[in-house]
Amino acid sequence: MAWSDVVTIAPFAAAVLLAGLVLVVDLVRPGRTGPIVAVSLAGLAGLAALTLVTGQTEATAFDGSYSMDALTTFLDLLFIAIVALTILFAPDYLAPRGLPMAEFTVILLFALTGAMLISASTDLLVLFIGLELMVIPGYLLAGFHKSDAYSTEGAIKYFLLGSFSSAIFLFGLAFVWGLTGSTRVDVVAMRLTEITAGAAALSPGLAMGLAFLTTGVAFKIAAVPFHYWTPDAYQGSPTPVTGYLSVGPKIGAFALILRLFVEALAAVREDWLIIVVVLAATTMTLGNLVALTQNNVKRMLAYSSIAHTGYMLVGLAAYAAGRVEGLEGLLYYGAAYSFMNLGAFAIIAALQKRAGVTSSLDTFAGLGRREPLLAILMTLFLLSLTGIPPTAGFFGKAYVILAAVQAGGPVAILAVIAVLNAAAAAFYYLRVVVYMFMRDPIGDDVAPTHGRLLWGGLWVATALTILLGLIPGPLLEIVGNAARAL
Amino acid sequence: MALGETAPIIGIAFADILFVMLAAVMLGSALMVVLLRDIIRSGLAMIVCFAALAGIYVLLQAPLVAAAQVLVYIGAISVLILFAIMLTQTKAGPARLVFQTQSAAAAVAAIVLALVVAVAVGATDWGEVGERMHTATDTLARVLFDEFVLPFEVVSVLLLAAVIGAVYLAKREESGPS
Amino acid sequence: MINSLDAYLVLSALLFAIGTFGFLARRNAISMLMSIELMLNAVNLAIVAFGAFIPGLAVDASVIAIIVMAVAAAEATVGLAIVIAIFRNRRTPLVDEYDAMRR
Repeated sequence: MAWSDVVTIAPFAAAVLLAGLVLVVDLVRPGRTGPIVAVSLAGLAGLAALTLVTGQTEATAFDGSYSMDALTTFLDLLFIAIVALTILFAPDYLAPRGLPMAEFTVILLFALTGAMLISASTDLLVLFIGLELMVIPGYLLAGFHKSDAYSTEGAIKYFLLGSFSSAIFLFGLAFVWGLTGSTRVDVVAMRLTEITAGAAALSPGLAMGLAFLTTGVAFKIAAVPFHYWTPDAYQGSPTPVTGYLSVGPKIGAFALILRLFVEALAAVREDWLIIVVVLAATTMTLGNLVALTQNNVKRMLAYSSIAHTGYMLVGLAAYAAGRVEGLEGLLYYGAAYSFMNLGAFAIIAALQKRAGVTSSLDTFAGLGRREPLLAILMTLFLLSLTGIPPTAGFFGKAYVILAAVQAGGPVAILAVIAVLNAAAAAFYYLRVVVYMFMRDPIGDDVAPTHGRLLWGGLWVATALTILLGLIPGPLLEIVGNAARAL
Repeated sequence: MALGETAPIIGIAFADILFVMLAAVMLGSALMVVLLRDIIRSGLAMIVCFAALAGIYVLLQAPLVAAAQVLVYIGAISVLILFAIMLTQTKAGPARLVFQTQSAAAAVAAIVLALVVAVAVGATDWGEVGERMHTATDTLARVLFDEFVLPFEVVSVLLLAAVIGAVYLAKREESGPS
Repeated sequence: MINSLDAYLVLSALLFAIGTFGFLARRNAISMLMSIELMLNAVNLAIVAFGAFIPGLAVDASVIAIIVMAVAAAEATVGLAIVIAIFRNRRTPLVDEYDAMRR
């Protein structure tokens, strides 16, 4: 280990130190939300600056197991933004329920470190540890409202499903390592290239190892039919946590796919193309179909996030078929989806400010009259989720579908399925809009006042959702660099 | 009295007998873990399984891993699991209450899985397979802090995060609704 | 048999399958967690077996196995904390009875 290693790993190390710092702040001023939020947001801003600065030069560290390139920088910044928005949205929800902000923030920051490690690792073992470091805090956050039966139920289901899939992933990892002799992703790639070039036969053990790896990862992104308990986990979690879980670990799992499959399995791309195509089709379709039947907005958005995973898989399929635009589309979609989904969940959380308010459609009835500003912002997020211009969601979908069409073959059929699905999804997204503006409010509670942090976060999410739809250029350039870094 | 390599009458190497015995104990106790209705007995069977695994690690010339298995799995994780079982105690009930309705399908799936993996393993040519190789502990220590220093340090961060969250979730609230 | 890599890997496969069955078939959340621990042990067995027989992997195998053990410990800690938390709410450790959200 040399000093250069420490410098390269600086963003990750700084994130760990930030988590420790927030712990110390809580030690010094226990129970106060203000200092926690201030320190964590300032720390995240500093972390983003550090990531940008160190990201100017590409470097590898620790003997090639950690790699700082354009993809790392893009993903790190995205994760930092996601965590910052979650921290902005959380206090309004946690305070009325007596939940401590300090532990919440610390656990969330540890999840951030895991995600940042995944985005930078080029070694199977480091990837696995980063994955665990990202999802284990996720289990804890899902059960954060520990006196609420729904929350703990969601947490246990999320934990059991996640641990099961981690064990499957690890089994595959053991066999791939045993048969290629190294945990470095580039060595695995080299061995596989040798095999496909005809030098050696694809041994059954190696194929089985790759199959187990794929299955484990499919569980992590909640692709259908591996999504079993994910909607329960999303519905039960405290709403700001659901917002984070639907975005953060999902993009983290896609980062894992990019680092593992795109780099290592580039040689056998045609083989996993068909798997990705099938997964994308089933995920999109089932997610949308079941979302149509939901009356609980949180559960509906949970299934819709499964559908969005399907759209991102379309981008991956386009990349597997040879178009790098597919990868760019995947990354762009990931960013756009993060902000609009976080915004939507933030509004649900805002409506649930009073403990006991459910997230059913009835809560949204007449919102246009009770809290018009919230209703307008929610409409914007829902339009973006549907994919109506000029929002970020529209541009993301358009780019991914365009890449799929250009890829041709089975992927082009996938593009058609995606368009049909997007059209069907409009029904359940816009149903919420109908409830908001054309139904009468149920009960006449006085609208609660929402904190400045919540409004601040909402405005940021709104601005990004509109800007990424109107001016896609800058982000497109960034994801282009990131995609080419692979 | 020195024992020869092979057992006197049967003619099988002692080492092979040892392997078969340990494997049988391990698999038997693993089956007990998943099949016994009384969960406390299940937990104790798991300890036996871990111990047998430690023995197998010794056979595989990995004494440090065997020691870690005993210390970590038997000494820490199993004790933790037994504590949790005590805290969430329910009576051992009839099989209907212990197994889910899809147990039969699960058993089929598990058997198929084992067969698939076994066939894949058997069909694979492992290349040159040497004798069981031994690792010196000092080599291991050097590699742990040299090549694997990043995973090593990150695991400590992971443990810290797990402990903080687990303490938060498991501690009893002094005030408020329980 | 003791010198055959296949034997150890088949052993690992059997243990993994037993763990999978336990996860899918048991109702008690702690039983499911114990099954997951069996699966993780099976992985460790495979790793150490590869280390013993494939030239050059011996040292790495021990290190990787120990790291996997540590990760398994962290996971078990978190899982058991969640089980205790949910037991306080629902007074039952049976996963089937956690169906509040489907109603």
